[in-house]
Amino acid sequence: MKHCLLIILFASTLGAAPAIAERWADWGDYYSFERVPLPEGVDAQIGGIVSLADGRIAAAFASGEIDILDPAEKSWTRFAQGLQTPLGLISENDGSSFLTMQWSELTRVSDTDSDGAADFYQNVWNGFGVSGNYHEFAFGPVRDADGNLYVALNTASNGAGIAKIVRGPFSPIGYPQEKMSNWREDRDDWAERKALAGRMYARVPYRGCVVKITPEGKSSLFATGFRSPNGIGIDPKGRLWVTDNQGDWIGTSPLYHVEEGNFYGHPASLIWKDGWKTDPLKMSVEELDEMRTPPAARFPQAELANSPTQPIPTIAPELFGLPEGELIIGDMNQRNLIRFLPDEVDGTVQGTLIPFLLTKELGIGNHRFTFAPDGSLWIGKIHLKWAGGEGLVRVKWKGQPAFLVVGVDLGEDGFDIQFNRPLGKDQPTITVSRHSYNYHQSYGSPKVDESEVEVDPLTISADRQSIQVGLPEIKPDYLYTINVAHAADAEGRPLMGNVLRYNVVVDVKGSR
Amino acid sequence: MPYSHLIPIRVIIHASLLIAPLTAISTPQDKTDEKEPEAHLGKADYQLNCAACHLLDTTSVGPSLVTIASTYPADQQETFVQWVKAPGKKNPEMIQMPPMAHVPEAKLALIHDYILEATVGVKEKGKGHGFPRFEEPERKLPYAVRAFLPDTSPASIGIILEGKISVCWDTEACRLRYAWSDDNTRLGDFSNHAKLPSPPYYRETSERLWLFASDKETKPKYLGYRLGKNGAPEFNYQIGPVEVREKIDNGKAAGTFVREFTIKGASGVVHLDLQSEGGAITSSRGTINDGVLSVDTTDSQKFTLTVSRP
Repeated sequence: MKHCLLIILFASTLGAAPAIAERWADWGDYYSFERVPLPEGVDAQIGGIVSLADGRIAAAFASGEIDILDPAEKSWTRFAQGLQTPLGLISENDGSSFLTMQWSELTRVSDTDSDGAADFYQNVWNGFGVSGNYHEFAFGPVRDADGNLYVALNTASNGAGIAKIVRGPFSPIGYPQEKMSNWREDRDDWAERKALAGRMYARVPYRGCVVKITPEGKSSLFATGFRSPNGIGIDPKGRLWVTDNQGDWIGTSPLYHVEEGNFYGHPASLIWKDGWKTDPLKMSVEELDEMRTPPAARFPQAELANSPTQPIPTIAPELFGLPEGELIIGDMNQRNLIRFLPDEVDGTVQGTLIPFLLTKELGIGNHRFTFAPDGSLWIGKIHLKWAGGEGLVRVKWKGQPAFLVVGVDLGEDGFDIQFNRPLGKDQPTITVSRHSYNYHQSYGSPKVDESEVEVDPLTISADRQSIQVGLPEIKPDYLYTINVAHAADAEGRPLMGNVLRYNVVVDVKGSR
Repeated sequence: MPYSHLIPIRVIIHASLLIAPLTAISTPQDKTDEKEPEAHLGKADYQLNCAACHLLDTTSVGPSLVTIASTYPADQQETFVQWVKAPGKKNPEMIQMPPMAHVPEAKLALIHDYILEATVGVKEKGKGHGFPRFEEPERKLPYAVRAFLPDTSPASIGIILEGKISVCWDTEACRLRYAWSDDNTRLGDFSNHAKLPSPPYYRETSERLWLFASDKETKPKYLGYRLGKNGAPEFNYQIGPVEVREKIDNGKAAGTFVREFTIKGASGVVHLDLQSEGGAITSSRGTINDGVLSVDTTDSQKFTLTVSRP
């Protein structure tokens, strides 16, 4: 009897297609996208961007300049130059100085004589290694409420070896230094033996790590286990967020909630833990798996992101149309941004990724972000010879809030999905699937153990702003894909961002 | 369960009753999350996994589909699939492709089918990165720029002066390494280390520069540099109690550059081991014997070395 009813109800749902206001089905209906002209003579790739209190926008370019835009005058002025691949930017003292992570130094550039241009390039921290490998990008900094700075250091790639002179010390754990520095002499030979170095390696300090630098300049190893952590951010609660890239040991790109002392899964950097002796390449998967802290969220490769970038906290909803308390994250390959909705479960922060601003106008290579005081989101693009983009895009909210999912909470029996407005009269169709990824040395992972999940009868709240999606079981270490179809508000405006990807690290009982 | 305030609704969906496979669910509003469903089965997967780097007829981040189709004709599908699962590096000018291990082999084969179909009758348009190549602008000299330079630490700075004089200063050892003849301000990039057009005409060869009294050398602590009004950098570092500033700029005479030293905290006679190859050094203070400059305490507070190109 129950099944007959189900079939009838299901059929009627398919037959009665809800009225969708086509006009409100595109992100361009809610947000405008403006390409902002760049100054002359810079490489149009942006490694860092930050807004100033007066509305000016400072950008760090791949060719080494920091230039400042006055949007009202549409004019750029040169602040600093001669930096090496700066990949982050924060301001100090109303823009009379900036901090940027360049290839081999965390640098403060300051205008000490008030002529509008930097005259002092101060070494804030250079206590990390540089091997000369092309993949040793350096990201950040970000600053917490106490003035501590955090930077993230990329590992090196065995697509190349190292330079003859490194800034070390070069760790003795692993393939010998002289065998890694002679790679240029015979590239075919290197192709044969590069696996001995490890796919991504971290032989100079503190590659693959997040490092904390106090206001007094004292540095300490904060967390290990990163591969290409090209996204570091701090939210208003003081939580540190880092994105990483799919690759060896990383089945699909993750977002980590980074806490001191933790190991996040890529083993190369373990050699920089105090007293570490073991070659990580010789450790078992089980041993490493036992040590690692899982990501708060996972981006299915090529669906949401291939190489995620900076996480930036959302601002007041009246300025940009999104709730506060979320993160916006970019990606190098996909022409969408991603919202992250955190959900704290038994002390663990996990949560949901939802596509945002999926539109051709956005383009790809969305690398660095800043919110201006007027609420516009400025996006700096980059490619660094991989997939990506160039230039500067200003995204403005048009003032009409999109119909959005604003919360996905894990409960004992399923998910509670919250909306920013009541659902219209038509009922959404919700389907759920789940899958996981392998944790292994190989590059990336296919989706594993993928299956559809039976959904209990939906319950909708009296105010029609939340739906309870009951599931027969909640399985930790699975990424749940919740597809909310046919959802529209009372005016028929469709739900914008209707595929919700909730990463279950723990269930409500704290089981992993 | 804590949802007593919720009203059960009529529609009940049972996932197993869905006719369409999970990946093919499509509703009008799904377009917000979909990326161009395409007629060819392989096209959507190509767009998700490949299009960011491989364009139809133009070399961009990677080779064009036209090039790929000629490398992997229909009978080479298996070779194609194996390559993209574990790519090597065919073109030294290009970044290595990441493996597509997350894409099932059946989908990779469909992508290959699509590449062959899409390139029928299409000709390669030529090479280009997809972005305009960055042209180094004319820079005002002196210009100081961090770069990968040969025979120095990877944390070094090039100083390009007037008169085709360029100087390498190492922030790790806190010393000038060498000078070469060139006025190029674009000193390579992160994946292409700078190559000098000719060997340095001046190179410092001493093991250590400062011989403070008879004490063993303390590792210098690099503090940063200041730019003068003309753009010339003045490096600043500390060796034990001694603070050193060294400004690099053009000398008055053609073919020369100067190193203006300002020293605080030194006591006794200061010695600099200036053993070097090429170039001729004169000092505004003290005397040079066997390549070692000796300056008394008072004179050491400020003195200038001039290096002439041979």
